[in-house]
Amino acid sequence: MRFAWLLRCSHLGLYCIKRENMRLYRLIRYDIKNGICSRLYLYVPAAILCSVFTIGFYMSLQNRNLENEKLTIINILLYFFEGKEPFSPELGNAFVFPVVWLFIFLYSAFLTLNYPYSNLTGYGVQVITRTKSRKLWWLSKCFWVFLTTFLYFAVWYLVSLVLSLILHIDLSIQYSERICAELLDMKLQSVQAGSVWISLVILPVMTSVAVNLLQLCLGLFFDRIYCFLASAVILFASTYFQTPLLIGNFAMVKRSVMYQENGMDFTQGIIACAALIILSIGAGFWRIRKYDILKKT
Amino acid sequence: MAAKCIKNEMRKALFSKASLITYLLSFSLVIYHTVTKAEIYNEFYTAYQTGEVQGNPMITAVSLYCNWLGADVTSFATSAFFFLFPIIAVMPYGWSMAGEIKSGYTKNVISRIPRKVYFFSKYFAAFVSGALAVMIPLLLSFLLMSLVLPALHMENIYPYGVIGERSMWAELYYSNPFPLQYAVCTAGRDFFGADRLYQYGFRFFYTEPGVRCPDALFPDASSGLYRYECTSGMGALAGQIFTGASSSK
Repeated sequence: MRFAWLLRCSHLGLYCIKRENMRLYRLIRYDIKNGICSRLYLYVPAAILCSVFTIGFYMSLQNRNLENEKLTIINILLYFFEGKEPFSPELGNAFVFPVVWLFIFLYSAFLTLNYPYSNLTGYGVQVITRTKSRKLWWLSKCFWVFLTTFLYFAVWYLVSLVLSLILHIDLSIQYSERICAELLDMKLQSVQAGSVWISLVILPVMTSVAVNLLQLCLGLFFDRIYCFLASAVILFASTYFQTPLLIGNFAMVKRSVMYQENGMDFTQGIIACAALIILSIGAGFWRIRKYDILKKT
Repeated sequence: MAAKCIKNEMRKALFSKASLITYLLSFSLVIYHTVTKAEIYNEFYTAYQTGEVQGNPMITAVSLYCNWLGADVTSFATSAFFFLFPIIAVMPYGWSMAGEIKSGYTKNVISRIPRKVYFFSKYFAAFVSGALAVMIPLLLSFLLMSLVLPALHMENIYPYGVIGERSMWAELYYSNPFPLQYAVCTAGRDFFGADRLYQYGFRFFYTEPGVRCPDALFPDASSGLYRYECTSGMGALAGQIFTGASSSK
């Protein structure tokens, strides 16, 4: 008797979970359609700029008489994610921010800025009413941020990959030390394949996801422009100060252990990004429960 | 009628909650910058008095003319000011037109007054509020710093990192620095005023409130252009982007 009751409960539980998963799946599908597929034009400027930066970097080899050096795709990715070396404010040493690095991360923040809140103040109210769950709406938006950021970085990597194929740039995991030293002012200490993957692929994407999710969460508390401003301040301050508290530091090669002995640790970076992601999602869950949607609309 | 319309738009541009936040942000940056610079100066002055400074003390390096917000190139506050101001300067009034077009307010106004008058007053208010959002903090910084730092004449033999020998306005900077500070304020005012007008032009084509025009994505580039225009010329920035050279070079 007791066994039958337990079985019925578990069936009911499974049914609820299944139904909730189905609703979440539908919400995600809706977000992919409206938040990604209908906004694909926003990825075009990123692709164009990636091409400009890549071709510019390739052409700079000829300007510096480095045509004979073997340029690889890793050199190009190092150029994208080099960031800024630790800055010491001394006389005559002007602070010049890393334009390419900042552009990459700011554009990612810009991509994820508008859709969730325009959705919440538009059709989102209807969606929440029909799904009967604010929690699911928030979860789907977090998932959308993940997807958008992954897609954005995929565009950067794919465009550089395609251009590498067109320009006959080597696709190996090796890189030219001379190009790094002369063009990027970078002499890497110990480079293993794993470190390259973490510093050029995993950490930039994770950092961007963390900043974008923080921005998404802040959007429930403040106006969107202030959220974008907060993201810009975090990223910009990261280029000036070397501290683990500013998460942008983990996405810069010139701040990592690959470049300097006391650099930012990869494990610490992954943990910090994961913590910020979890914190942002959790704070959003807490806030969305009592968020006044009707007032906003 | 035009004066009344301009007055109305100016009131909306200057006395809103967003403009108050803008001024608070910029004033806090100015105060932070002044306090940090005053601390550095006090340390230097104490060391100089006690004879701890060895060799050439380069006294002119603590001058007001290379340490105020418009000329300092090393501090976080200055960098943040010029990096973030393309965003901050448009906050108070940036999407006023977009909001008004969407809400139908514009239709009500242009049925009562000439269209030209309405748009001219919008542009005028946009320019003035953007310009003031930059000029007031710059002037405030110059005045506050002049309370703390000595206004020593700069000497072109030292590498201050501010204005090099071949930079724009270098002669003026080393011979008579005060007019140059005024010129920097004016250039800042015109640049950010024009930036705001550009935002307005963009609003005719894209009226989604909450989204800034693409300039938001290039705050670094636009402020960089302004700073390089005033210091080392545009070639440096263009060179940095298109030659793939390191940012430190």
